[in-house]
Amino acid sequence: MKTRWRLESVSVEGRLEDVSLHVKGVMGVLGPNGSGKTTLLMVASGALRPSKGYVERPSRIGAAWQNPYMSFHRPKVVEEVAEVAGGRSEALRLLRESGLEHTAERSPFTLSLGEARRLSIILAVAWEPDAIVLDEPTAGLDVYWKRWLIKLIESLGRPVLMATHDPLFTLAVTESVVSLRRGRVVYNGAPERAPEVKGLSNMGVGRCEARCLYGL
Amino acid sequence: MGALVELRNVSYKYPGSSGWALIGITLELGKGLSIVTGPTGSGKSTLLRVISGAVPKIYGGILKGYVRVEGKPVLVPQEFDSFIIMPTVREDLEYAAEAGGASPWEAVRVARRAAEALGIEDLLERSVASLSTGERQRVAIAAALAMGATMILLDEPLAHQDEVGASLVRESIEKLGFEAVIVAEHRISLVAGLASKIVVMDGGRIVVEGAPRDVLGYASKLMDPLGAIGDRLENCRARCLED
Repeated sequence: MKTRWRLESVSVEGRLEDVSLHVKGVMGVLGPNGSGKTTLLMVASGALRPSKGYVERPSRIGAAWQNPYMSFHRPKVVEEVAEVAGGRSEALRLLRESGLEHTAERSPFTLSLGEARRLSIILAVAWEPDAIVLDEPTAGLDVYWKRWLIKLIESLGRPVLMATHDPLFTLAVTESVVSLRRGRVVYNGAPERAPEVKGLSNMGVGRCEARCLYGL
Repeated sequence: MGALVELRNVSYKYPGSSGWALIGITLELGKGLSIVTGPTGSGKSTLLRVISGAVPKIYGGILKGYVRVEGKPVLVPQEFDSFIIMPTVREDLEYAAEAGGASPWEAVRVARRAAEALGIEDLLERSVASLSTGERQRVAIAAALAMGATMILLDEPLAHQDEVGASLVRESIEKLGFEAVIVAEHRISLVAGLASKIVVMDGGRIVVEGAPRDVLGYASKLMDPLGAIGDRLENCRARCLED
């Protein structure tokens, strides 16, 4: 099993510029709209080939993309999960834990954004991949389900690369952060000193306070 | 009566679902901005789908009760990406204009006007796939405008980025000329001030509805407590100091 996960001088024409990083633990990718977060995730997961540079990555990577509905192709929610989780009873257990049991027999395309988000995240992790990529996993989730997601991410024990706009969530769950501006890495280090998180740090909100605010 | 939307005792069940997603909803919505809020799964999206006619037309299922909607409602769903169907912005807007009844030669003009209204005329020749999420969201609203919508229903417009979504909601009411704007959103602090009515839902029912100042306290208790971070943060600071 190849576990090293790193990007070396990676560029994607017009979208990423000379990005080098080593993904370890739970790593956040921050930056404004259009700064290259999704592109970075696509390159890191192997979904997109960079025009320059080198990517070394684990062979099995689970991904939940920004539009969760893109992950769905089965007529029923339970079938989506059963396909990756190896059977219906396991699928129902996962749906129960993520508050989706009542949607099991529905089409995944009738789910609300929060429900669809949870389903796409389960689909990304249920087959026990070696590493996980999450693109805006908190979009559409309320505080209760954000807490669920924090616990889920921590239970995985695998490297997670996560793009997000949510500084409080970043503070609560990540171990390191890269910040992007126009496709370039402008910060790579501890979450609390990332430019997007500084506002919270200045208010005296650190990792402990953030987790406490989520009820953890 | 000035109501543009009138629901009387409306209940709805998705196909294959055992429970009712909406239960006995009676509601009137008028001009301006109405916000439907409530926790995840409370029925906000479903209510928008009923008003837009997508339920039961597209989703199927069982709809009971009386629904009257005046004008032309267009839903911009959470998964707005899947409703942008043409490869370039121009083609998508022209297609929307034609779907709204414009002739092909009118459609060119209608599409251009819609793009200008949303400030995306520079993106017209771009491929939709190359746009950022915020830009695609503007394209989806421009398409609704080009389609001739008089009422726009925005499902979680703030989900992708708060401030971007909030300014889109503001533009929809103040600039784009929609008669009514109905927003389903669980993070409402950025837009609540603009609303003439807020409807709070939970478990498929309306818990409370009214003017923002009358229902906001109620809503914040039910919802994201991080919108009102004050007291909790003090407690958390104290707790973290002890550890």
